[in-house]
Amino acid sequence: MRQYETTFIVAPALPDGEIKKAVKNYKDLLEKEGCEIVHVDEIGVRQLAYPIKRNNSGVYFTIEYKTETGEIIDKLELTFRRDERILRFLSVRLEKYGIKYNEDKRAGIIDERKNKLAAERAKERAEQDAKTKAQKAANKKPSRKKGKPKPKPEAEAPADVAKTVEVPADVAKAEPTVEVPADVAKTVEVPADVAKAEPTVEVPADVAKTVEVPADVAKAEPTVEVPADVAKTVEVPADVAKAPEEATIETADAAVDIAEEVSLDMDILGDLTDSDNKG
Amino acid sequence: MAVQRQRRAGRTSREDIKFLSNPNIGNNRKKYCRFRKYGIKHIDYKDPDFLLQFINEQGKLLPRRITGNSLKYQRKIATAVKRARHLAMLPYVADLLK
Repeated sequence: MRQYETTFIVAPALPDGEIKKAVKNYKDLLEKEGCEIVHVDEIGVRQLAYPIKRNNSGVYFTIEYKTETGEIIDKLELTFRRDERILRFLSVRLEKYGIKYNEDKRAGIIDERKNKLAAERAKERAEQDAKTKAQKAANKKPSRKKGKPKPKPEAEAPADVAKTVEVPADVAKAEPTVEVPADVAKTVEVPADVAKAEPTVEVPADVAKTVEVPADVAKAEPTVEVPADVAKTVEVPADVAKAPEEATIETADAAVDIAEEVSLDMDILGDLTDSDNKG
Repeated sequence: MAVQRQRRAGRTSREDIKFLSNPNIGNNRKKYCRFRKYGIKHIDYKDPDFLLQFINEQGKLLPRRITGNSLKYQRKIATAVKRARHLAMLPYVADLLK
């Protein structure tokens, strides 16, 4: 006894009774030919991936049956071809795994297993991601140190960050030239020794508020970019606001330079947040 | 200015320049055949959502080099996708399938 499975699509435009009748018709035909019907699965109306005979949807049925010889399939398919109501059909022989699969599916095991597998895979992926991330962070730190020889303390606000936060223009301009005022340092909760060392530390906008930058990170990362919104919270001393002319010019240049490297900067900010969190 | 230029030069030589390209290129995750790993023996052609994982946006079969399937199961996937296409569960040709 071999087990077969025939899937076919019935035109959906027919009255409901006729669809049922068509299915019953084929079932009877199989039974008459001495097949043992295992199961009739009514999948239901589905959207077709492409139109067939001007139909955009179809009613799917699957009949599973056992037969001694395969001769019945020719007869069945001939009637399918003659029947105008049938859009498509496909007969497949089921091997042992297929039979088992269908049984499991009927018992609801397949869906269960699928969900479990999906969960498992998601978990595995998350673990691996965490691992690679940690590795990356570990690789990053030392390389950054030697990569940035900093002769002069210098603060910068990346141009596009300033833009997005919509800071008043004059504040943004004044900011980079100034060595970060003491009260700013307080609000960002940078440890005192960092503030003293004070070459330049980049504090990304979103991190600044929430994260207390640990001392070692700050050391490893000698540039401080004071983000615009921090600047907002702090009252900038009056003399700061009136920055010397030459200084502002320099900033403008810096801004251009930075603008060229904006994508780079953003990446760096991203890294920073990572390493900060790890700290 | 000079300082900045120097800085920029220093920056480009830095390691994070690699972010201009895909940062995940370096750490390639080991591929595996999910059918062997999870003991899936039968691939159902009536399950287009599952088969969607093995075709690209245009409805073409993805190569083994990308999916990581073993040859045996890649063949089964191929037949299942072809059957699904015949039954209009998957398109023969598509655009923006995913």
